[in-house]
Amino acid sequence: MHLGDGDWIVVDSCVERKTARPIALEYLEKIGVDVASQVRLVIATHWHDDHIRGLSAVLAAAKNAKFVTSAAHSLQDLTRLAVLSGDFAPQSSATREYHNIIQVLLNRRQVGERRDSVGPIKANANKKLLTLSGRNRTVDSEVFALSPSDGVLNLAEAELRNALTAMKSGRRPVRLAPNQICVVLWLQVGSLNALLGADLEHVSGTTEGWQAIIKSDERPNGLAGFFKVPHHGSDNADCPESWTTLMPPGPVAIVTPYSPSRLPREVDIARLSFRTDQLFLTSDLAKYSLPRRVNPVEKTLRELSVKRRALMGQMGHVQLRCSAVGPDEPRVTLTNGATRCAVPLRYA
Amino acid sequence: MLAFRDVIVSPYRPEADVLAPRPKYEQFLLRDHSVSSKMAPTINRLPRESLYEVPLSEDSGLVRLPSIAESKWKVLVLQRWVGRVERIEDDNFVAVLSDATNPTNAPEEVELDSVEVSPSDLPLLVVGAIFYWAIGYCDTPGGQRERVSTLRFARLPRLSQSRINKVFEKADRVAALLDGE
Repeated sequence: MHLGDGDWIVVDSCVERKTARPIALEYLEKIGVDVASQVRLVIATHWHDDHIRGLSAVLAAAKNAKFVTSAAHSLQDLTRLAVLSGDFAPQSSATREYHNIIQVLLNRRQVGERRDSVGPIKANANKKLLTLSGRNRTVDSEVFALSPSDGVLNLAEAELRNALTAMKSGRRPVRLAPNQICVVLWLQVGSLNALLGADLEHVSGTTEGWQAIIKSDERPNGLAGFFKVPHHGSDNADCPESWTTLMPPGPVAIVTPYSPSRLPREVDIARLSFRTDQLFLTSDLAKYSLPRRVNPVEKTLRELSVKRRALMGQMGHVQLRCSAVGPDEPRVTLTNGATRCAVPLRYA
Repeated sequence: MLAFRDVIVSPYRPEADVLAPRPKYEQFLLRDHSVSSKMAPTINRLPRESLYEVPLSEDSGLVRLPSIAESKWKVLVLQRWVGRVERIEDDNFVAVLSDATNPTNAPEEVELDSVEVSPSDLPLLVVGAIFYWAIGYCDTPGGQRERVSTLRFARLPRLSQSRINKVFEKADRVAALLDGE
């Protein structure tokens, strides 16, 4: 995300399959951003494989960036998990990335950097993570965390304990944390607001999930014209009230599909299309295809009646650009198979 | 007169992942079919040097058989995956496979019958377990080729509590360093 005046933040990470490099690094380098100096924050919303691959490489390249993670994670437990994983057990992307991030942070601390300048910065509800203002800027920018709320800070502990137990017996932890502890972000860039929903789910009760954000008196004012739809557009992350309380009618909304969970489903797309006519998908699950292997392998797979499904396809990109200082329609550019779900907007 | 057509076809592909050394075709035995079957020499009667270094281009009515002296199990792996068990259902389990032969391939979700798991590995079939799956050819010492699918679960030693404690001490020092100002 561009915060104006050449300052950027990177939220989560995934990697380009063929180059094995983080998509964010490839994109920023392609448009001429000096990652080492212009990226101000690298944020891990939560420690799930699909949000974390390549994040350590991003942080290593972003030498001027602070690292932000959810306050719900005990640094001690997470470090135990990463070290145990690194030394003994099969690593998941998440533990491997955290292991590498620890190394990057340690290297920075060992050359005299202070914690508040490198991180980890613990994000929790209504905490301001970054302020960019001053005479040398054309727009002021701020980054807030809207979650995790106080009510869920204990959830991560049990999950991490389960992960440690799995590691001790040589298994790979399937999950490192529940979605409820993830970091939802609110960005103010000039007159624009953006809401990045991470994987936060909608649950009953007002102490966690989207209701905790909606009911909070301390969150930043304003409505977000841009929305990263939470949890791949799933039904259990869709809070109807969030669309009316946190956003104006018809915001630009982006869904990031996740094939292992088969999200979003058609019914999800239909529901979200009803909420806004500016709904975009970064890729189309229906176009994911399995690689063709040599004949004896294909034959064996057929004989074994193995049901197979591709979990990854072409990594699409929805680029939104608009002025932060005046009324301006967003310019939308779709590449690598990204699509729009409703009537055509104005494409660049 | 040829009893068998003397053809050697290499099934090996340059991109294939070969665990065992390639067969040495030069070391195949030649049996002379011009000699009557009653008089056909057995392997034991042949001078040892005749087992080796026979030009491949030779076409003199001879049939090549694998050298017993040199025979051993050979494995040609065509495809390898590393799998992680995601969920277990009644008679099958769902796993995510990473392609170890061509890592640029996308991960796949597969549904495998539990019966494919060796009985000795069944206790290891739990959510989160890591397994290795290979498909390839196995050449027997007798010269027969079989197409095989082998699925083995990772066996990792259980860590002792004292070893875990040492790891945790190390991790706690790291965490304290990161947490401190």
